[in-house]
Amino acid sequence: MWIVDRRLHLPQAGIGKSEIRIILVGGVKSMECEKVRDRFSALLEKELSPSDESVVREHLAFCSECQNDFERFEKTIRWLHVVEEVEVPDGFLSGIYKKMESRKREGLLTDQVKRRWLNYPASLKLPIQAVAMVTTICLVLYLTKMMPFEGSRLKVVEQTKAPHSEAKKMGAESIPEEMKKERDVLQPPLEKPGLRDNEPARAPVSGAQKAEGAFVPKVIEEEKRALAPAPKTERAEADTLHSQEAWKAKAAPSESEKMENVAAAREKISFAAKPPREIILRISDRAKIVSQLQELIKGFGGETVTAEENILLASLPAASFSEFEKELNKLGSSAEPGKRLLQKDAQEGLSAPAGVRQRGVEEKAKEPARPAAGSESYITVRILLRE
Amino acid sequence: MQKEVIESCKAGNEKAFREIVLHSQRKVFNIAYRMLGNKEEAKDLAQEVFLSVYASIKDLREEAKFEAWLTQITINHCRNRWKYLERRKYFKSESLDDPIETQDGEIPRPIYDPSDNPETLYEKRMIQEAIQRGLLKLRKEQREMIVLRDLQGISYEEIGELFQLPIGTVKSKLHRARMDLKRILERVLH
Repeated sequence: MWIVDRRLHLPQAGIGKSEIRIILVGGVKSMECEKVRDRFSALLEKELSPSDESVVREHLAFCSECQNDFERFEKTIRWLHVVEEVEVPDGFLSGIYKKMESRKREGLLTDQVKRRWLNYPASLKLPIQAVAMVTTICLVLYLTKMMPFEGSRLKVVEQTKAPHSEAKKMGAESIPEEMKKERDVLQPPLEKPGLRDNEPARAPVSGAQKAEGAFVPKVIEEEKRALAPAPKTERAEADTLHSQEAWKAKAAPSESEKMENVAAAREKISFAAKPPREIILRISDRAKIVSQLQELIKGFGGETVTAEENILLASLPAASFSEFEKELNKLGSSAEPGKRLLQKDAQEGLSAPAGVRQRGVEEKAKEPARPAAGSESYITVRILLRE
Repeated sequence: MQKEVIESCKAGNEKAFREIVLHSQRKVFNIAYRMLGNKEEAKDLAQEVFLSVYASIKDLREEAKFEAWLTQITINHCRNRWKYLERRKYFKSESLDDPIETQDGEIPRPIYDPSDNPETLYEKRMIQEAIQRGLLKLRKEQREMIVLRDLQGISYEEIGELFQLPIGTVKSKLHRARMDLKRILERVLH
């Protein structure tokens, strides 16, 4: 009966044929009521079309549940509409002005905090800024590993620890004959050292040497200067001496001793490594001449380095070398100056190749009070004895 | 609100600003009160709204849209304040079923039906209180809809512009909000 009644109202309620099946199954009431309840607002605000409004009103007249629901809805809306506005509390406007003032003060305070640093006295700001700057620079240098003292210290340690290997490296470098000749040709005259300073290095300088730069200690520079142009035959001697000194340096416990040893080693190396002047001495009695030569060398303040079968290597003070040469001519029957393998001016020590010499000159400029001892005041001479 | 007043306020005239406050304070304060349910909070929020107006009225391009612009600022402030109060569990104890605290202790909340005699002052006050509590039980979006439409009488078109929603959507959302409020109030008032 209930379903039949519903069916009778279907066309009027605006429900389509597709919905009839659902109605027959048993969902009639919920579907229709839901549709009607969705239209409560529109019904109250008179936004439904006349036909829709009549359908909804018919449903409300028939369905008591929807009717009650609509009444409660209507009451709620009515209450909402009668809700009175509350009065604005006293002091509302003055409160706004107070807040404005406080905001302005806060803004000023914020600005003051920002500018506080600017207001500090210079006596306080400058030291802080200076310390900050120095700290920053130190940090940057440290990070980029450009600390000069650390670099030089490292080099000294390297030298004292492994001079032999470096000397070997130097010795192992094969210098072509053509380059030797070229170096001879390019030997600078003593009067014009300034011009040489600007010349690019022509001698083969190893990458390690180049990298050492301005921070390499003086002794190392001396060694390099002495070693670089040394002929192969002399390098062997230099190697020996170098290795001996290296061993000494290794054995020495203290750093100052190490430094002294290294300096002495460089002196000897430079002495041994200098390209000697070669003199061929024609003799009749070898044993006699050798003893005479040794006495002569001693007489001129020199020293006999080696005395082999037909070769005598000696070191003589540069000042007395010319005298020694005269005496040597007298001693030998036909003493003749030999071909100089490498031009060597012991007084100026400029036999090093241009690149190395340039560094030497720089160092000289840096250290004007350097003593003129050792390698600079002696000339090495090789006397070849021929019968 | 007269266009000249707004322009004068834009130029930094404090008298014009005062006039704007006096003209709009009731609306702003009531929206804030209905949204937050507390007069002190509403007062503070409404003052903040006018501070915002003072600071940003220069950016208002169309003086004719001042009311909508002011409502938008108020709603935005309410949303922010609601979030702030929610984080501090401000609304946790607000329940229509909460017992009433009296000097003799807590007593159950009586159920009234003011429809029987709606004219009495007491019943009016009860309705006001129930509505306010019911509003606070709604979701934020629903509360905004009811406050703006049913309490402030703002048109569907304006609400649609404020929330950037089609009018149909505004209507359906408002209807669902009303139905939810009805269900909430049924437990207390009917």
